[in-house]
Amino acid sequence: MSADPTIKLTIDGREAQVAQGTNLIEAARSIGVEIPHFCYHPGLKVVAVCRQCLVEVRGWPKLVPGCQTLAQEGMEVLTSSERARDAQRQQLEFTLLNHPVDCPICDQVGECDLQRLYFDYDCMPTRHDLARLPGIKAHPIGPRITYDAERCILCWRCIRVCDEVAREHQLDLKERGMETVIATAPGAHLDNPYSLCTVDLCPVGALTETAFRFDTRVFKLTAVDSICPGCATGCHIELHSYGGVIRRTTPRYSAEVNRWWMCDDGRGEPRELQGSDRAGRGKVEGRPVSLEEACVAASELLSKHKADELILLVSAQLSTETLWAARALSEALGGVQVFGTARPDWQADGVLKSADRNPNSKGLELVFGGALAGAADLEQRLSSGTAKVAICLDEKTTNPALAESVEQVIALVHRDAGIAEWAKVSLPMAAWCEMDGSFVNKDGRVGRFHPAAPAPGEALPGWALLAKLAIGAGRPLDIGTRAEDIYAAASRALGEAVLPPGDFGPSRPPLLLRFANGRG
Amino acid sequence: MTSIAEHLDPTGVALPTETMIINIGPVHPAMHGTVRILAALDGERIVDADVQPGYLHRGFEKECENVTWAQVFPFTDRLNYVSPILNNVGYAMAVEKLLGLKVPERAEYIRVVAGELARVGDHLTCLAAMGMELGAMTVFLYCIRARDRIYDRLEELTGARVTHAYCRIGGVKEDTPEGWAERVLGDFDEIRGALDDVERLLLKNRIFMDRTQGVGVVSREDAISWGWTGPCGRASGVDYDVRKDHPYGVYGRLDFDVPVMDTGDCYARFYVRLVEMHQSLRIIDQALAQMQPGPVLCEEHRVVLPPKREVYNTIEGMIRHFKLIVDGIRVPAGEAYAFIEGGNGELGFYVVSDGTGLPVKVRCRPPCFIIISHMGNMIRGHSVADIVPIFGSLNMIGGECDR
Repeated sequence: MSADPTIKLTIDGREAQVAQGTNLIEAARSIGVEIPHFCYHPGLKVVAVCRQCLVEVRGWPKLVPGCQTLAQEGMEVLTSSERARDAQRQQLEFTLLNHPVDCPICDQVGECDLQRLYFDYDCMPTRHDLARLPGIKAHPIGPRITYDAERCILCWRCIRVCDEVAREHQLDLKERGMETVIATAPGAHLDNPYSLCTVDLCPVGALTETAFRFDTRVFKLTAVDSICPGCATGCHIELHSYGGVIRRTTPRYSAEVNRWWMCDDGRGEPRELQGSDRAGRGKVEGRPVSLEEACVAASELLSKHKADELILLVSAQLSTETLWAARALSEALGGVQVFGTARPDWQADGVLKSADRNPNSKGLELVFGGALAGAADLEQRLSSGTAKVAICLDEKTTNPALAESVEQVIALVHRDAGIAEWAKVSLPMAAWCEMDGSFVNKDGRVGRFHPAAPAPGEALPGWALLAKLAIGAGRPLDIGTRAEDIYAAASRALGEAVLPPGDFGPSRPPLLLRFANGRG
Repeated sequence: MTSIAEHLDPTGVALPTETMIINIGPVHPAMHGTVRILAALDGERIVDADVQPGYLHRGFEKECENVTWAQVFPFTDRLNYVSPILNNVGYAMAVEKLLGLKVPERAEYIRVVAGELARVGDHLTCLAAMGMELGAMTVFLYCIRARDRIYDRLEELTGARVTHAYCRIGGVKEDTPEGWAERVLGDFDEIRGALDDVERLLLKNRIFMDRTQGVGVVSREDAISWGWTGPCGRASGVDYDVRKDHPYGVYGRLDFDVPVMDTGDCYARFYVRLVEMHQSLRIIDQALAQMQPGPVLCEEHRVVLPPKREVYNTIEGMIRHFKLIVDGIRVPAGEAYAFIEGGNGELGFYVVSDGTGLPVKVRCRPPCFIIISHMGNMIRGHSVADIVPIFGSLNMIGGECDR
């Protein structure tokens, strides 16, 4: 919305000032008045099909849809006059005519706009006892999405998401009148890379995420603010968990980064981390030991070798705080050479996905600057045979040559498989969704994430493990004991223009969706 | 109040006359389960006493912050668990006040009838326990037998004998069963018979009189300054009964007397309760006669659950049900205090809402906690044996006192 308010109008007797081109729903919202609506979404084109947002404008003969009607100077809008309320109530009655009694088995319950608006704007018993029209149920409309035609209220939001966000026209209306359904072209599927945004926007339970279907009741979920680690865009997301397990990922509105959207690949990130092989204990030569014991073994290795016999491998997958601790460790041990690694690029799509698949490439660059050696340097150093001990912080991006060219490897790992099996010492490291911290996205914007699930076993954030190693080696790091302290230290050292101290932001407590004002 | 340590101080007296500290309770039968009295004794005489309630603390008020408004009812049952309906009514009235709800007349009458039955049950329990602790086992049996008839009727009405959870915000759970009023009236003979028996057994009984008259005397001034209400207050001459002084529900339409005595001893507290039960039966009699058929829950769709027939067969009913259960009843932001005459006095609920489905605060004014606060002073100077009638006549109910 433009910062220049030019139009004055009254809404329910209260004065509002809005920019030219603002519709009545947004104008009302700006002064805290809700106009009920299904089809309107601020991120999509207006179609005015649900007719739920009818309001009265004094002096105008007919009720007008609040989404399509733009605010005009001197307009007098009545959102809850007798006529407007009647229209809203009747519209809800029509919408519910054929709605199935599905709430007990519907995944949308708790975040359902139809439930909320019916309760707030109608709440009257039905006036008919006719049979409801049956419709298609549990139809796999795409690889990740299940469609239920009975629940669909035909708001066209999904059609517009495909058209306007994914820029692929995959959905359309089929049939007429009471038989209208949302459908793909014959043989086609709803499979665009942003298809799950249709599920987010579906106001009812017509489109549901197949992986989340019947998983958890929405009102039992707890939401935390997080950042997607899938690529350098760093979409703002919410992680929803129940019983210590992350159940789903949804985008969180951010005007500058991802608006209301995120790609389907990003939503799979937490699921990828789950599994029985998550590392919860330390290992020494493949033998499971306590974290303490593993740290002692690792510290001994470090104190036995000189700085030029050590190398430190960090990656753009790590949080800024862990990277800062890595830098502090390399300095404390007397100038250990640090090598940066990264996941290989993929195809950028011009919507949200960046080519760089690492969430913190910018952070890596900021923390180490020119001191960071790249993949080519690593090859050279490994083949020279001068590296005796490697501290490796990211199993995902590790060069397989490491096993042959370095005598001993201290690995900070998420999983017990892979590098943890042959490393001299492996330490269990918490993943991004299990810790506090931040990424710096490709535009240099700091994104703060919060723990959404407990880390497995004794696993600790990377920076905490590095701090333990430093203490064990007799060179304690002066970085603090909380993620915000480390960020602050990094911000002081690198300059406030690079890492603005305020951008880490205050800690946001987990939010139980059940009582979050109609959200859950 | 002198400290116990003072009495313990060995002042160099050679003879063994030092005070002795003994624990009475918290698991002593006469302590009704959950109170501990730390008494400093000089022989049989209590020179100092520290009454320590709290052994039945469940965190009622904190629990209420984590449930919806409707889910508080079962917790209120467990406050004064000998008259749970009264707690239900008090809490419901506070929330209804905040919602600005008008409860249907029939529901008000049912609340009065069930509440007075609960009050009779409460008083019967008190007299039974007090009599038994003084050796009158027969009194206990007579009273409890009469109380069981009341429990039978409440079970028919609510489905539970003790923890009823019968009230709803906006009315009561359901209407009275067929023939219930007649059965209630039919029990009156037995209840009145039991009361008359107790009267004949104890009121002129030399032993009982010696044990209770002039024992645990509380003056009117003390009763007022300690905030006493209810039967204990009225036994000390405090003529205050919420039903009379601030008539709520339909009490304004009912004719009854409030017994007041001025001796303020255990005997007076016993007697006031006995007379009050006769008055309660009078109230029930009138209320059952005045009661007209009608709804027992108000019509406010955003507060009252829809009938199950609608829930299972229509989407409208289903949504209403879901929203009321999952989001809870959305009570307008604000605060309200509602108070009723509970079994032991003014039972108040102070509720605060921020407009969501969860209470911000549910504070209970428990009459017997306030009464028990004065007990240490009451037993000081008496002999150990006097603790029994004094404690018994105060009718401390752990669930309400400790919450």
